[in-house]
Amino acid sequence: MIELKEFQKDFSQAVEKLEEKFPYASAFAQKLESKNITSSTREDNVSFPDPQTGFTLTIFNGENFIEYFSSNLSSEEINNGVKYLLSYEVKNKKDVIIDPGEKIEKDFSQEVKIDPASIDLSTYLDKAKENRSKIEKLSKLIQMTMFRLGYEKRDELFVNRNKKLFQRLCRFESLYFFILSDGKYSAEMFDGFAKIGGFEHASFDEEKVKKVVEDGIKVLGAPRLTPGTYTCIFSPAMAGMFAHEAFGHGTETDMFLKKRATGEEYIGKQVASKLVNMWDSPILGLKDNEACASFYFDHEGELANATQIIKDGILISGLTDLNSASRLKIKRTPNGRRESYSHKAYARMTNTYFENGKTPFNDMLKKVDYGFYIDHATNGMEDPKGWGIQLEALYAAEIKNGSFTGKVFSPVIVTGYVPDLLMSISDVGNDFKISSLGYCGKGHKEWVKVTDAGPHLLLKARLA
Amino acid sequence: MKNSFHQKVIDILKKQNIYFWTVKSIFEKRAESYFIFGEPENQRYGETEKHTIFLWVINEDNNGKFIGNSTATISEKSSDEEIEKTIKDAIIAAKLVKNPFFEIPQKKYQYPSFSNTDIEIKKDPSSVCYKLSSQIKDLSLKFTDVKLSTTELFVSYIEEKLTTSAENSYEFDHTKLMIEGVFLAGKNLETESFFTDQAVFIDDLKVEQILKDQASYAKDSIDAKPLSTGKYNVVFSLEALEDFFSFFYTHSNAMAVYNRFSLLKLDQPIAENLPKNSLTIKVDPQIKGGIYSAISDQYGIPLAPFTVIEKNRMNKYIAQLQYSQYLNIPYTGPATNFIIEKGDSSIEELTSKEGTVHLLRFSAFSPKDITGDFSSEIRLGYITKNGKKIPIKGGSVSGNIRNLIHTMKLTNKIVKSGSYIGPDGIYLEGVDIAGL
Repeated sequence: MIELKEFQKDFSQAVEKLEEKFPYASAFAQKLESKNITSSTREDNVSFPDPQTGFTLTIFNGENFIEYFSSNLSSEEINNGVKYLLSYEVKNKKDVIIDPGEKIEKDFSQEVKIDPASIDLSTYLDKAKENRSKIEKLSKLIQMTMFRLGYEKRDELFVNRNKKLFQRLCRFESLYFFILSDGKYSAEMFDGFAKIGGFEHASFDEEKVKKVVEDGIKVLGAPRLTPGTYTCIFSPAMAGMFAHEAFGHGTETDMFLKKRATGEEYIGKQVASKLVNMWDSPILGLKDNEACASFYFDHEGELANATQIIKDGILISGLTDLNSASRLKIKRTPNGRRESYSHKAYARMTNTYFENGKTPFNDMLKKVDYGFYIDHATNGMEDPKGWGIQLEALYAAEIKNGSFTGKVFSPVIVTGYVPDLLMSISDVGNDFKISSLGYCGKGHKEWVKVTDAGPHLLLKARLA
Repeated sequence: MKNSFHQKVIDILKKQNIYFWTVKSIFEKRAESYFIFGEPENQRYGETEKHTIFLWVINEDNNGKFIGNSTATISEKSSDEEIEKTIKDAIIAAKLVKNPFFEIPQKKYQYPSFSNTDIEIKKDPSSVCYKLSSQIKDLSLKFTDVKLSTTELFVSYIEEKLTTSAENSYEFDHTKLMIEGVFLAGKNLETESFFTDQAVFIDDLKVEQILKDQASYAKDSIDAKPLSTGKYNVVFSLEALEDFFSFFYTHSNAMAVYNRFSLLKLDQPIAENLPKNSLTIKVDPQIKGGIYSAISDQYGIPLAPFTVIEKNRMNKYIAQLQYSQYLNIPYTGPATNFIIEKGDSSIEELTSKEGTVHLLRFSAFSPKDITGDFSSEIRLGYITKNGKKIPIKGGSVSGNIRNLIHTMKLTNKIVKSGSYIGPDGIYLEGVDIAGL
């Protein structure tokens, strides 16, 4: 099997050769091993996804970056890449300097108690079937259930003149999806988790699944609510998606460079209620293994660290990639990420979250005269320029005089002006939960693994 | 096409005892360019190769005859031993799977001669990427009161080779262009218009028209305001079109029927109350310039056009091989390019009535394909007031296609935008807009 480390020397030599001509060069390589084992009500499936083995060579020619990528990870092809890049001219613009960072040579590895590759496929499939069958028995309205177990072992290598870094990341996933139908209406629900580590996480939380099925039955055929502005409690999943879409994308500094993020003008200014603290942290995984978008260095060689985006309601930092940090002359944060070796690096989020506060959920609930509890977040969309937002969820439970009425509406969309929503936060829960199944696109492409998290939030929002 | 690795995988597969197998190799040359305010940010070029095997085995036990399948992708640098190991692992995986048996035809096919390749891109994707970038840069300078913030261009030449154990084999090459960009407008560049489009042929990507329209949308956004909350008659265009009928695509799939959640019955009307314009949805796998054009399914069975919904009636489920046999219905193959038949009004006629809203741009218009619900933040639209089109933005539009389809009218002009081929406007009455 190809071992990335075997090519470290080739990449170092390539960087050295390229820097004889250009002011900066680097190399990134990756290799994946993954399996997906799926049991559905009427069909099972096993797949070994694309190993996505390949590399990118990068140069900065004095003016812009130029990259060569290939799926052919071999010494010969690395040399072809060097030859290709050497055909470009050096430009003599001196205003942008690419900092190669402090000298470091280190290998990193995430802790895995039971190597997921060491477990028989039959064990995976039996477990997936058993879990799927347990879900099906919870309601006769369930027409189809899919239960998937899988893992991804990812090796990544980064080399520039000062850095020789290697990381081995491993993520275990357990997720399910079911469709309910009564012949007149259909509804879908999903849940699950992804965790840093291996097969040690192959457990099944039956109580949680029961709750998801109960919510699904309430959602089936549920009406839509009357559009308007309401007092809301966002579940931690909804709060996490809110963090991600509101000031996650809005502080990716490549958007500053393109004048596409209004946040650039608000650094140091209040954008949210004083109760709000927000972070992006690829080291959150050291505390909570569900923070599975964690790593040790980003795809441009920046070592992982936590970045506080909002402190006590004040916007204090953006999330940078190498290009935007170099051009804007701001501090690098570990957010230069690629979908894969064959994609460009952009400023991207990792584990993005609202910090928890002090209010217990029941105290929050008592404060709602009329409003909705919003849960089962599905998807969202950012608008860093106009500071609009779109958050979608499957579940809006009506609250009257501090209690649930039992009425549920579905689906629900939250829209509004981001600072208005953030300023309206009047309570931050004392709980904290990570939603770990997500991927994030830049616009409508460039998918990377992310998580979002948060506590319950009490706020005012426009719902429809 | 680099055939040697493809053949190596075939030679190893032939030595195994497998009911049916397919090898699909994809070789791509891709050039990319990224600009920020007309200055280059990044230029990329690369070549990738991917070899995927699909295999099926027969599993028999006391409970009967079953079929098992698995899929594996092999790295081009794998040695013979590694390929053999991957295949053996895939066979072990397939032997664990016991799905209801279906017959995979072992016959030989004649494949249609079909080209979806732009010769200029095939010759040199980098040169096309460079030329288009220069064209965009020059054109963007012509527009006043707007600035082109960013453009990203992706130009690909892709070769596919598929071989099956029934000794069917073909090569299919195609090309792909994608553009993404953003115009900024306003005194302090406070509004933007984000756009993305894709095509197979250079001539299908109407760069000048795209830039002209988007520059105008960016400018119109400056003074656009949210509407008051209420019910409106709405014409959906542009970004809403591609996924607008996703409820019908999903529920007309035989997989949904087999899994008992489809709400569409064969030969029955598609809704209790039928649309003013009848809805006809076709699938055509070999449209020149179609983003999803294809020669065969994964079993190597040649694909042909068919009609899914004809004049408001469910005509033919989209049936892949296993579902066609499980449900005893005609085989169609997978969905490729969907084509929606046009209606009889122009977009101007539909939007001319006082109070009609025309929505073009959204945060993300992604209807729920299981329920038919749609919700999206409005990025740009127009409302007709006193005969004038007044720009609007903000708030959300929401509804359910099943509940509103009886009010639907389709426009009489067909557009090809990305993967969508159909009318340039879809009109619904009584749609909720949550605004001021």
